[in-house]
Amino acid sequence: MKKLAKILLISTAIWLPQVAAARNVTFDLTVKSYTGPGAYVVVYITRPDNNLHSTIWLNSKEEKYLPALRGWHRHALRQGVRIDGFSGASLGAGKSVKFNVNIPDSLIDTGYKIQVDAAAEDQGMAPKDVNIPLSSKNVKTTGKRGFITAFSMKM
Amino acid sequence: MLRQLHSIPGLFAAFFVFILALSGAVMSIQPALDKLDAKNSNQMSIAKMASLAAKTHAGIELISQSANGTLVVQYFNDDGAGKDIFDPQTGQSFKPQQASAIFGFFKQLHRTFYVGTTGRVVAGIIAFIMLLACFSGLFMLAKRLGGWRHLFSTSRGKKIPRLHVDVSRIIIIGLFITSLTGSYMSLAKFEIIDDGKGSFLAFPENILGTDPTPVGQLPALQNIALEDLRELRFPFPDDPFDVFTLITANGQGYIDQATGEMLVFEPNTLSRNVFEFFYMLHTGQGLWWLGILLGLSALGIPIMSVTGVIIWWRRQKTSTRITTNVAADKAEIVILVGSETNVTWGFAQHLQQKLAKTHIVAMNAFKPTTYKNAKKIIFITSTYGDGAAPESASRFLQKLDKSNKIPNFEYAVLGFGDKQFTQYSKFANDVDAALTAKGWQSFLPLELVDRQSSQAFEAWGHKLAKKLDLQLELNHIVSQPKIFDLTLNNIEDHNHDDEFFTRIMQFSLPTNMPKFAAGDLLAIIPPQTNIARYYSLATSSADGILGICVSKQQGGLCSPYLHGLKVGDQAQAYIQPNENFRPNKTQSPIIMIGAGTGIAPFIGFIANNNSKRDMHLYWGGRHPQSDALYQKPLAEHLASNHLTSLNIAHSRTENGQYVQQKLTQDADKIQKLMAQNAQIIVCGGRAMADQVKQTLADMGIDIDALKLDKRYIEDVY
Repeated sequence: MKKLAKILLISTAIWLPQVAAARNVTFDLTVKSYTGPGAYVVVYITRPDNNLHSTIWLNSKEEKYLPALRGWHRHALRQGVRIDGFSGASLGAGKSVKFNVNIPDSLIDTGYKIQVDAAAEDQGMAPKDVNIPLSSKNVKTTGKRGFITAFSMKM
Repeated sequence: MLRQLHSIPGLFAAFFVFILALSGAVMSIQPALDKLDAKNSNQMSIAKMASLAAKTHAGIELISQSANGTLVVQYFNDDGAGKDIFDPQTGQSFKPQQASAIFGFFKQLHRTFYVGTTGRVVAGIIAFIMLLACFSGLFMLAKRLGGWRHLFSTSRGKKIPRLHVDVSRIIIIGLFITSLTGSYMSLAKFEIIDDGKGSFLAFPENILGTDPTPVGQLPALQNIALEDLRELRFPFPDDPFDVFTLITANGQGYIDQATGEMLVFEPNTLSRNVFEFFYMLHTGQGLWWLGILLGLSALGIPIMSVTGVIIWWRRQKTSTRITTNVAADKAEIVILVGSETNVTWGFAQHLQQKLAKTHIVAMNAFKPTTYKNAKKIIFITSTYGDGAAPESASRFLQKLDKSNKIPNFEYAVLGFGDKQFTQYSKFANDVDAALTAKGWQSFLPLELVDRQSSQAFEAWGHKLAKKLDLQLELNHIVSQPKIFDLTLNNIEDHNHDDEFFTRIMQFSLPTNMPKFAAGDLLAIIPPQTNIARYYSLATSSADGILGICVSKQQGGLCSPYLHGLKVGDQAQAYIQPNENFRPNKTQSPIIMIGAGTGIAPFIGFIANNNSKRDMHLYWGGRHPQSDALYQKPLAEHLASNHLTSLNIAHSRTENGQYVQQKLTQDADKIQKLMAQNAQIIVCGGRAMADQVKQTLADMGIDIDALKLDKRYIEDVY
């Protein structure tokens, strides 16, 4: 059996390139309140052809939990991803997280999308809970499946 | 050593174990509740079930089956996301699936104590400590009960240690399973042991991407029984290159949504199967009845924690500090102590403080070559359980075996024990025999003290004093109970020949006196002494009176005092429980055998025989005119069937006989009663009790076996 680890090693660099023309984007997200262990969340960018462009935030490095991030994992299996460089801490129920990413101008307003998958034990999976165009407008939204209760993107 | 291995981790873990046990007990109900939602699937295929579910749930994403057979469908459509429990026969949802907040709360508490990874580590360590406690406890249990063969025999001793032992015997198997699997799961969680979850299938590359086939017609799903299903993930609807992911009890695979072929299937690894088995044992998921049993076992843990801490605490409290201990090489007397619960230490310590130039040390620290100035060496030892060495003497016999020089000092052995045990003070006997065999000289024959009797200790002290040629008053009392002033309110004197006096006495019951039962002891403290004398109670608290029967001992200290009391006088006393001297709680017959004042507890047993079980009394007195004790109540009890038969032997009449001769005459009847699991209760003087034992043994009755079963109990003085 090929393990994901192997795929990771041969990964086609899906790492945000350091380009001059980029914008610093601030993301802020909150997961729903429930009783139980913390949630795993991934934030990623998809291309106009719906393939994965890059993974910008992921809070699990444990392979066994990654399949629960169903939409992202579908891409990860097919294309390979790099997950070192992300934190391994789950996000407690009801908790928020805020982070900044430099996103190249070429991805903005050109058909790329921001997607968020989330999952937690006994709480089910919420693939593509957030699925919005990567636009230059500031966005405030909630997850369609209700796992991400608040999501904002500011440039 | 074994005890430390048991109690130190036990104490450390008690608090956490408490939490793990209670949260575990709550969660143990979950598999059974889950099972209630499992519908009969009548051996249908996954394909059939999935097709029904897909028809009734637009936007179906996932079907999963719990280990208990409950099926859950997850879907996402225009109405939003949903997660329902459904019936595979119809595909219809019948209730939404909601993660229980209560179980969620306890699960998290159970795993992490709500302190994240640190908590997980603690929980893992606690599971391992519990495993150790199970093992060490099992060995202690075997030791205490007199060997592995007796693991299920009735336990004896004081109430709290007995409770600890009895509960442990019920829950130890459950505890063992829980703690072993818990330790394993913790190691798996921290990836010290492989749980086989880490790897999963690489995505297949040869996907057609043509029009999907309805799920019910996928060939790969036709021949897999529904009961093997764990999870079926549907492909994303907008993604023709996505696949079905199938997880079964045996492995996982991908199915092409167009051709319906299994593109790849990887069977579970051994480590995966091991993990699932341990997971099932620990959680009861898939084995709901085991879950309930383990949950019930877990409920015993708080009892174990509390009684365990009490036992430890009591031992700490009774451990006395040695203040002035003369060095081993300077001491003229060396006291070597074999103690399990520290009670014996208390006695030995008391002796040491009354003697000059005395060194006191545990028997395990035995080093005869260092006792350079010793003239006498005194062994004071208890016996553990059924004849084993107590903790502080566990290595003594080995050490003695290795020392070959015959010393120039002389020895004495004092043994502490409990006649309730079949091997009364066996270890003291063993020590004495071993010393003699080594050629050591004894200066005082072996003496035994029954149940921490202060009197026996005092009497031994007098003998010792004579040999040492000094004055010695030993008055060690184990723990001073609350003393009550009792008012004498009824006397019934029996005497005929001015030679033998017996007195039945009744004291009024103080309101705050602790509860007692017939057969418990009334400890009377005669004035100008602080050593109590024990008298068997003929009544229980419910009777509202304290009844005893006292014969006057010439030259005695307490009995002449009691015989001198008048109605209205007061006496100081307390209750000494005697829990091992009670009729068992069955409906089997009881044979009571006694002589003289030994009749007293029997009167209470008979009076309380409200269920009218068969009770036969064999009693030996002197003469019908001299000691016709309790004649009237006995006649009444016979008439009311509280007492089945009354057999009296008189020794001072023409053709007089002893009670054991009565037994011999009734041998057939006694054999018949024993065949009905009768319990024998003996009360009275040592000589009588020995004769009775011999007589019964001659009938072929195995008294040692009966003792282990608590079917032969005695209170002998």
